[in-house]
Amino acid sequence: MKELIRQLTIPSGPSGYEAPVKEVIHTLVQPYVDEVYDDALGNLYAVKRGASGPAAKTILLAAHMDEPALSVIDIDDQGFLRVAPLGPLRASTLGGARVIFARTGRRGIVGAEHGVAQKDLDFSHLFVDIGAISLDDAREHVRIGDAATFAYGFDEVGADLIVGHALDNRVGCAVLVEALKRTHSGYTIAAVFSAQQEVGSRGARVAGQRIHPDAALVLDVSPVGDTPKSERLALTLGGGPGIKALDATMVVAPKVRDMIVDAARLADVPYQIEVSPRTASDAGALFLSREGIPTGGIVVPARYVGTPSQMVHLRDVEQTVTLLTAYLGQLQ
Amino acid sequence: MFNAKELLIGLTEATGSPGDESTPAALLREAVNGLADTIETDSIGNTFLYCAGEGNTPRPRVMITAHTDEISLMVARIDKGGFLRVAEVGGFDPRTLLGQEVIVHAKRKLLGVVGSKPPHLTSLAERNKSVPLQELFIDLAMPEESVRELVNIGDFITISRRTMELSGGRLAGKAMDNRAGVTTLALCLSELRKLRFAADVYAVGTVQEEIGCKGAQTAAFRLLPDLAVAIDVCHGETPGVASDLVQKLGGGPVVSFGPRIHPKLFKRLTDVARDANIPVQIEVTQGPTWTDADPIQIVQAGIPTALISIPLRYMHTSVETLAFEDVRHAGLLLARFIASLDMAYVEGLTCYLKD
Repeated sequence: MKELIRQLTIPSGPSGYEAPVKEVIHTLVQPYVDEVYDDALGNLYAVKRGASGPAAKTILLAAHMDEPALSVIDIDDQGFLRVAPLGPLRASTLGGARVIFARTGRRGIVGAEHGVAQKDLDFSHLFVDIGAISLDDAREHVRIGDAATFAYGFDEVGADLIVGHALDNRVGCAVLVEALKRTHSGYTIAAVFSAQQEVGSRGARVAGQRIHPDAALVLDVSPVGDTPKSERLALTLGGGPGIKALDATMVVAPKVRDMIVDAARLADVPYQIEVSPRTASDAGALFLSREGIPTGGIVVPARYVGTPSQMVHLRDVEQTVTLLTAYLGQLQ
Repeated sequence: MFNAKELLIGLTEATGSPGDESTPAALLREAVNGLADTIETDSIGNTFLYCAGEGNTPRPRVMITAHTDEISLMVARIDKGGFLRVAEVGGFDPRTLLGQEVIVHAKRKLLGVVGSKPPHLTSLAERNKSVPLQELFIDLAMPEESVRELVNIGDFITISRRTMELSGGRLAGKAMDNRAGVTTLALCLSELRKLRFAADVYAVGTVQEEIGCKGAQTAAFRLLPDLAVAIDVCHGETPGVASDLVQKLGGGPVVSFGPRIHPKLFKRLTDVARDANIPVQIEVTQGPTWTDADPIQIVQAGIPTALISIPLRYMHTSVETLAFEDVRHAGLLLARFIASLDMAYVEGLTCYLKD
């Protein structure tokens, strides 16, 4: 599992430019599914037909591939880049961050203007230094509109904890890849590795309309409340998968939530309930597709979501796969 | 046959959080039993009450909606001592939550109170500031272990409130927003049974309005009606609020006008009201109406949409106050409006600029 997550965090996937991630996932899921295809928005679909034949109902499973990035909006005479956020990033957490441009592989450092109080810092005070000596030199390597993601790779901290800049949500992608491998379900599984979640779940929205499933489930990460003076959230790292009850995009109907809780109990997987009013996910967009789709979610608890270093517990990831597989296995 | 005032009181005292509207939906189904030709519930909880029109097909297809959910809270965390921290499910004003009685919908219904520090123990600076939602807590008066035994993260919390009959035919309680609209749907169907009408009517009790008008959007996609009318509440006159922002309680239902509203539907509603001697008031909304009307209008190729509102004081508090007469008139207006529809009118709705 650890190796799979590491492999998935290598490619860069700014919202709207997820192709490198998509290629890796395509190769990984091919052996386990009946059909793989993509669409105009950059979603990747992997379909595994249900055991109950052509009459099988369909469940859509969504894990977003994209990660927050910085988008170049201006290059000055000395070759410094001005950037705007692509997805939810806080300017105050970015000083000194190392980034890599998806298109050319050029690396850079985020700098902040001197004399601005930390609390007042916004993106207008930040710039990216790519080691260019002039405007022309910078233009050799970077164009307006290019996107840079963080370049921190993948680290292990302690025995079972991993840290990375794109664990949100390559961890969800890894869970989905692994579940496709292990699952036997009565339902047809339409796995959607979705594009553009960080900029408003635009990929999930069209995926829900295209697949028109009987039910949907998102796989994502969600922030925990177990660090010093953290937000008052109930999830803890290592406490097991979170079953979604509420996030910023939707409330999960109790009967949908209870089906996943029952699966966790049957499979003897520890679980937590996710109530995370400031966390966005693809769930709300899927729920609103066409006539409305009963939608739930399973999340991997994560620390430092929204910063360049997210941390998750490998046992939580394993248990999320177990729970998802058990849930899918019981669908008839 | 239902008694409309008793229905409204029953609906407001019932609880139905966004995502779990089954109780008010069941009360609505029970009330219209015998009035609707078919009753269905979809996979996300919307309730569809269908009344077939008279005459040959094609008949005009009309959707009328009122949301069945109410603003609620959700258990976000159980703190030391068994005190509950909460997340909003729909927009409360945290200032009005202090001191409220609540029901926590746990393994069994638990009564609790929203606690706060007494004034004797707060500094002047603290007293001058309202307490943000994150600082509020619910006290179930139980040992922490009993709380953990009975309460789960994700349990809904609703306000506990008996609806009061005030003088002058006014009612005060929680969830008038929008059980007043739900009552209007039932009243409309009951009134329609006294009239002849050509339109096929779909009255929809929608879900999850308070968290983004969700059920209305998907219900409209399912039905793709020729036109839709949303029923909700608007702000009633309140001391300290400018008169152009509010409507009179007892002045009649409010018909909205503005870019989100089809002008021909507005005209027909006000014409019908005039001809039937039903008092109405007019509200101009330049931007979003923040009701089911907003998403319905832009489903698929677009749906001509109107909005009728009941004036309501103290919206999103536990003492939402309205004049019952306005609800009765809204039901009457809606039924007369539906009875006025024919295919020629509906076909004319797509010619926006003519006449």
